[in-house]
This record gives sequence, structure tokens and C-alpha cells, in this order.
Amino acid sequence: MGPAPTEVEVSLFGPGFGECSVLHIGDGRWMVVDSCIDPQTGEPAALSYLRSLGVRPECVELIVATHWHDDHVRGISALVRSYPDARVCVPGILTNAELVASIIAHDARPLTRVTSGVAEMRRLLEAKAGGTLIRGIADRRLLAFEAGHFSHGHPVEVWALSPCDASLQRFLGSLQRYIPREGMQKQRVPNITPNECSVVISVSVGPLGILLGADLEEETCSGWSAILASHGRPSQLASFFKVPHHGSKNAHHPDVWRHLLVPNALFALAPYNRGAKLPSRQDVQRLASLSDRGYSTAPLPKKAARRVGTVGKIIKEFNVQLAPMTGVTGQVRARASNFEEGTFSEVELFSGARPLLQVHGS
Amino acid sequence: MNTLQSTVKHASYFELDYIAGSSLPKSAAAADWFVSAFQACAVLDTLTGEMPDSQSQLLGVEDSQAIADWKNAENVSLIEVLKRAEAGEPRDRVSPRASFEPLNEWEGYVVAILDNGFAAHLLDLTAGCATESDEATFSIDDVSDDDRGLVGLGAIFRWSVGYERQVTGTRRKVSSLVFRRLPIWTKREISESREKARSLVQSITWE
Repeated sequence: MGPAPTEVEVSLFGPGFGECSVLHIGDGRWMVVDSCIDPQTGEPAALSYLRSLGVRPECVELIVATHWHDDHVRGISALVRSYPDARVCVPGILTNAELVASIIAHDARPLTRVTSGVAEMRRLLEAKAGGTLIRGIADRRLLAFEAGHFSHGHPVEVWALSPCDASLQRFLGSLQRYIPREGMQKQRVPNITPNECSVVISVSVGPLGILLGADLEEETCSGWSAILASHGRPSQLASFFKVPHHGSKNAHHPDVWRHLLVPNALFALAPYNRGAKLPSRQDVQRLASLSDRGYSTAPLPKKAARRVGTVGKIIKEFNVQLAPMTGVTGQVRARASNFEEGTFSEVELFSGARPLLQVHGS
Repeated sequence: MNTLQSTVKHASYFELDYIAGSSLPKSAAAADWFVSAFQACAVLDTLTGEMPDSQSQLLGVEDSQAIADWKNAENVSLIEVLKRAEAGEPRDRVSPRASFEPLNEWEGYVVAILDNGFAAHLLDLTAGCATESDEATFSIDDVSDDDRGLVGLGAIFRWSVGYERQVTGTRRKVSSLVFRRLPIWTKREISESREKARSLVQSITWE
């Protein structure tokens, strides 16, 4: 059942690779931040969820692509096409024609069937050709509704808090490494870094604050430090925090918990079940020491599931280490109806979602 | 060089296949086989995504005896065809006498280089997955000597496991990694992408 018109809802979806936040800001109006594919259905998790609630396309106000990494934008072009009236915010750096040329070149003739964030960005840009896109940069207000607009009676504002100028300049300085040159051998599109160009989103509904940390990492004089030092951002403290970059140490700044969040804030993360899996046990301990209201959308399996049958025997015989990357798409859902408390009183966990302390197994 | 061979040579510069670049046939005898292999690559590309016009046209080439032979060959998997073509083996050594029966195939790309191998993300082709399904760690010993120079971040390969059936009828388990010979960026591709990007960025109203 969907939220009441006067309720605020924030859901974080994640199958172990990818994440997506879906927010209800009042009176059946929604926004979506990032996108992931549900492995069970093959379609964007946000699309499935909003359809299950009977949300009409015109009721989606805003779609944000925080950055172009595979685990944040898969399916986002489908969202943009499905919700044509929504305002769309992309990383401000995409106004750079040289970067877009690189994206187009890499996606012109895909070398592999595996889709990439770059391909999604190209489709998104093409879907908005002739239209309007919002540049996601620090201290920019993306949406604003006055107090009387919604039946809950509170004003609603959505802000981008990053990337700062220093991050953008640093990225522009490193851009050449991603630009194809004549005679260079092709490869699958490189993972364009750094994460300091991610767009962090702040949402306020009256006294209720939500901070969606994207994959923003901490860098000297940029990243989270720049947000904390900014005088142009809203001063609203958040009672819900989407932890950045799967809870990694690189994305942690202790002052975020002191100056941007209410004490013992509710927080959620989507784990990264690939390579160096995130969060690590140390990450979990660190986060749990900051608030006891932490959740994960999915578990990180201790051991790889074993293939059975002849294929499994051959894999074992040739000593190939094989591990599944995604499971069921879990959902952490928080709802708030009593705005004066400024906190989310109701938390529900669906599919594989669980308390953070159980992310590595109970 | 006849028209067909010329077309193949031209198309090889158009990329996408396992046998581009240095694998061009050195003799007329090998050319027929090369055409067969290229046909296999074109088929593969219909599975993997976009196909350049030149390859689409090649699919219409039905007058090659080599292609007919390949189509009629029994128990020779696509991956085996590609491997042997890449090795430049003449046709008469690529008879269906020794065959490969794939049980599972993946498409993969390298995401990390390790001390004695590499990590990769895999798309399970047999299961028809739409997104990467598995992460695998391979030893460099699993890669043929010819392919080791291709192992790098972003490199694309196909992994097959199955049975190889010998001429004698015996079977043995096989795990086969074949890396793609990726083409190079051309001046035309780069200038086209720049023009498209300029046009696309200018068509958007940026707030």
C-alpha cells in the first residue's frame, strides 16, 4: 500500500549491485534518485515499485542521475522515457562536449552485450535532446514547493550539494585520459572516476530532512569537506541518510554525522557485492557506532554459491573462483507522518533488506 | 585477391570480431577459411549487438564453399571455429572430427589485474541474463600464450566450459578462454562522435 498523502516516504533499493532511492514528498508526488535493475524482472526497480503503487507518470516530479557509474544509472534512461514530465538532473560536467563525445564514441558500437553507465548516459541525453536538463552542481536548488502546495502543509525543497568547483576543475584536468584517440586500441568503456563528482541530494519537507549521499568520497578541500564548508547549502539537518559509496571508509567524514544529521539518524546503504565487497566489517562497526538505526538493502554472502551439476564440476576442476554478483532486490522503506518530531518513526524491510549489523550474516 | 577476400580484408578493419588486425590471411588457401571465420564473427555480432553494414552485407554472401562447409559442419561450436581461425589453421585441420560441446558460455570483461591472474565480470549467455551475473577470478595459466598480451583492464573475452570430443570418441572436460582482438579507434569515429556530441549538447537547454 502506498503512503498516505500527508506521509513522507523514502525507499532505498539495492540487489547487491546498484542502488536507487524513491521518495514520496506528499500528495502522490514522487522523485527518484539513481536507478538499478531488478535482476528478477530485468527492469528498473523504481519503475516496478511505482507501478505497483499505481503512480501515474505525471506524478514523478524529479529524476536525478548522481553520476555515471554502472551501479547507479542502469535503467535510468528508461525512467526518463517513462516519466517524460519529470525534471531531470544530471552531473553538471555533462555540459562538456568533449566528455559527451567520449560517451558517444564508446557507445556507438558496443563491444559487449553488457550495458554500461556510459550507455545509459548517452540514452538519457538523447531522450532529452531538444529538451531541458538541470546541471547538478553544489548549492543549487532543484525543486521548491511552498507550504500550502501539499496537504501536509510543509514547504518542500530539493537541493544539489555537490560537486563543488574544485572537484569539477580536477575532473576537467583528468578528462584527457578518457578521450579516445585515433590509433588507440578500443576497450570496454573505462570506469570514469573520481566519485567526487557525484551529486549529493538534500530534501527537506518542513522539519524533516533527507540526505542522499550518492557515491561522494572525501577529498582534500572537496568532496564532503566542501559540503560541510559551504555557506550556500540549506541548514536543515537530516534524519534519514543514504550512506555514500556503500559505507566505504573513503566516503566517510565524521563531521557529516555531527553537522548534517540529527543525533542517531536513521541510515541505509546498498552493499556492493563485487571485488572488494562493501561495506567491510570495519565499515559496519564504524557506522554502527554512530547510530544504532542502520539498515542494508541486501546481505553480503560469506561464501560464493556453488554451481551444481557438470558445469559446477568443470569450474571446480579448473579452479575458477566464481561468485554470484546480485541477488534479490531488497528495499529499506521509511515513512514519516508526524513532522514535528522531525524523524522517521516507521521502518520496513522487504526481500533481502536487513539491519546493518546483519549484512555479513547474523 | 578476389572481391570477397578484399571485402573481408576491408571489413576486418571495421572491427568487432575476434580475428581483426594481425590475423589477416597470408595465403589464398587460408582466405576461404578466413571467410568462414568472419561469417562466424558476423553471426556472433548479431548476438552481441550492433553490426556494421559491411558485416550485414557479408551475411548475404552465400556463394562461398567455405561458408557452406562451415554451416554444414556438425559438432563444431562457434567458439572452436573462432579459436582455430584466430590461430590461422587451414581449413582441412578444422574438420569436425574433434568437436566441442559447450555446456555453459559467458561473456566477460576484465575488472582487475591480480598477481597471477585477473578478475572479471561475467554475463551468463547460456542463461540469457541481461546483466552481469557472476564475478570470476582466473589464473593467467588459463589464458593461452597467444592471448596473454590481450589481458588488461576492460579486455573482453568469452569463456566456455564443456566437453571436447576426440576423434577416438573419448571426451574430456574443457574450460576455454578466448580474448577478443579489439580494433583501434579511427579518425572517422572520433570526428563523428565529436560532431554528434556538439550537436546533442547544444540541443539541450541547460538550467
